[in-house]
Amino acid sequence: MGSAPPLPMRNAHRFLLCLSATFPLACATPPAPLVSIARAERAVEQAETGDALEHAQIELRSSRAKLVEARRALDDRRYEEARRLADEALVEAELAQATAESATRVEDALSASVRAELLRDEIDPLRREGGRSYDTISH
Amino acid sequence: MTRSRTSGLVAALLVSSLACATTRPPTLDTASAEYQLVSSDAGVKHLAGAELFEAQAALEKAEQASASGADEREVDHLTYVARQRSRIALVVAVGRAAEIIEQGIERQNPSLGE
Repeated sequence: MGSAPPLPMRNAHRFLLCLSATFPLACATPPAPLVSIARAERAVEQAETGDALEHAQIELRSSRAKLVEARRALDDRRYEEARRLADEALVEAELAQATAESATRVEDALSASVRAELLRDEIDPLRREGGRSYDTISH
Repeated sequence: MTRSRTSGLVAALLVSSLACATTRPPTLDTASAEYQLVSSDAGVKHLAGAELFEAQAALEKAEQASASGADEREVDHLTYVARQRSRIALVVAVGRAAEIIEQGIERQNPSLGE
């Protein structure tokens, strides 16, 4: 029967044992997706300050709901789920913002087109009138 | 008898492993088709190149996850993100095209801007 190892050696064994037990656990648990959630929060805020409330309500609502779910999953330490929800909230907020900006630009272009037509309707009779006056003078 | 049963088992295992390896969510095909459609448009390429690049990267990530047998939820999630990125590229291109049209109208009618 061998004698027990000296105390420092036993401590080292215990330390290694603890390390080997905790290492796989540390590897298996994903990190808390704090950055993903912060990015999604910023994107939702940005979309809300733009025209998304008016032009992209559905996308914005879905994005907000996913962000709420992501925060809940984070609190429950369901980190993988929290990351996925935060990433989906982010892309939906970006889509909401892009949709709103695009809708505003289309509206602006249509408005410019209508104003240009109105202007032509005002100017053309004057031009024709001007042309007739010129003809009368020259004859 | 035992031998034929064993080879039957082996064949079943092979078939099931092949089935697992080739399982591809139908939504990934949809995402791929949507990206092809959006990226084949010259206007989108020209007006939303950066967004299109992000859509391509997102789709590749989803394809790789699926091919490497990643968790089904992860593949579904990446596929969803890829589809949204293709939509963003399309929407951005429409907005930029509208902006160009508006600028053209204003150039032709300088008094509009007054």
